[in-house]
Amino acid sequence: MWVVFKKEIRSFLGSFIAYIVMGVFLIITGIFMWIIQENNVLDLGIASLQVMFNIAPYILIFLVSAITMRSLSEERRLGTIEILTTRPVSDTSILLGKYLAAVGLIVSRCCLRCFTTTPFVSWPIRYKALITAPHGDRIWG
Amino acid sequence: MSIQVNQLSKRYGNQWAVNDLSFEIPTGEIVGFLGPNGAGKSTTMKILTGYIPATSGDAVVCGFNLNTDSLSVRKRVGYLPEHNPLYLDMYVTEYLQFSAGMAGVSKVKSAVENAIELTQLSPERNKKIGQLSKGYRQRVGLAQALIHDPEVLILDEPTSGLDPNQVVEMRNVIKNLGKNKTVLLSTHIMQEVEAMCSRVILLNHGKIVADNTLDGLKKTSPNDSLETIFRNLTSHVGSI
Repeated sequence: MWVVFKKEIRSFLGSFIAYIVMGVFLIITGIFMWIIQENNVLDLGIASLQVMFNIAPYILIFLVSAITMRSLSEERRLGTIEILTTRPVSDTSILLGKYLAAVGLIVSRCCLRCFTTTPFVSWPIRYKALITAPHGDRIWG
Repeated sequence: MSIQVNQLSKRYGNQWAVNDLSFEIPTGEIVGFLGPNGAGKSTTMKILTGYIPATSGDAVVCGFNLNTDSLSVRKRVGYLPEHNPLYLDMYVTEYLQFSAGMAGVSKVKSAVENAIELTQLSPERNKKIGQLSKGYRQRVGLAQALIHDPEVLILDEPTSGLDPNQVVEMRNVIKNLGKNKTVLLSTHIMQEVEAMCSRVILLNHGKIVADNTLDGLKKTSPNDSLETIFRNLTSHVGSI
């Protein structure tokens, strides 16, 4: 199972599509968080990832399928499924390996979003609190 | 006996791809599986490697029944499928390591080295599979099949699409392997059989029309070439 898992991760990270898909996810959530929505982070002035979690499911609907839809059908198209299934490995562990690889990729991508966003969200807002006038008027933003 | 096939049948829809096939292959023999396209060669091989189940009948490979103990069979069989499917974006060694892992080999590194040496892949070992020529790709396919040092090798058209030099090299590789393994290979080229095999099983419309040693087959009609014998045995329109 872990052999399949490793191979899936490697082949995904080795393909160009992986980075496009990841980039698209980061850009779209970024746009929503900072620019488009009325309650984006800058307007709200709260260091919260709520906006991201609100829209992430809708973006993931498409991006999850972009990652996973090829994993079995591609094997079938290339004929490599014949090699996979004639190895002394049960069908269950092949499927489980592929499934876990996809889950791992998506979870790590969401974590990536959180980690990359946090410093950019929390630091400016802390900074903003410092330079906000005592009576609450905003100096900037 | 390495391979025992007993009244094996496979039906696709209402067409019998393999019909009541029975044969035995003793250990250490190179057997050629012959027949026109659609005779059921590939189907039989797919059944013997556990890729598809048979409709009826059973097969015993290396002492394990395919219907009940397919995983044990797969441990002992190396398979090169028709058209040799490969992951083109993988590196040669990477792919062989993956194959070794899938085959449950414990010493991956030495198994990969061994397979590379046997198939003379070392000049191309650091390339991506997609960059290789057809001959080398075929060798990667073969290396993948024998990575776990199987007792039985099942090769579906191992020399198709190769140039004459590569064909000769491939034959030599297979011949060497056949010294201590049972090899079942399919082809529809008669010279192939003459060059490599000690025995021929001729299929037509899913049935065995001849099962003989090469010499025995030649003796059945001494004046004809093997091609003519092949044509005589398979050209009539069989009814299913």
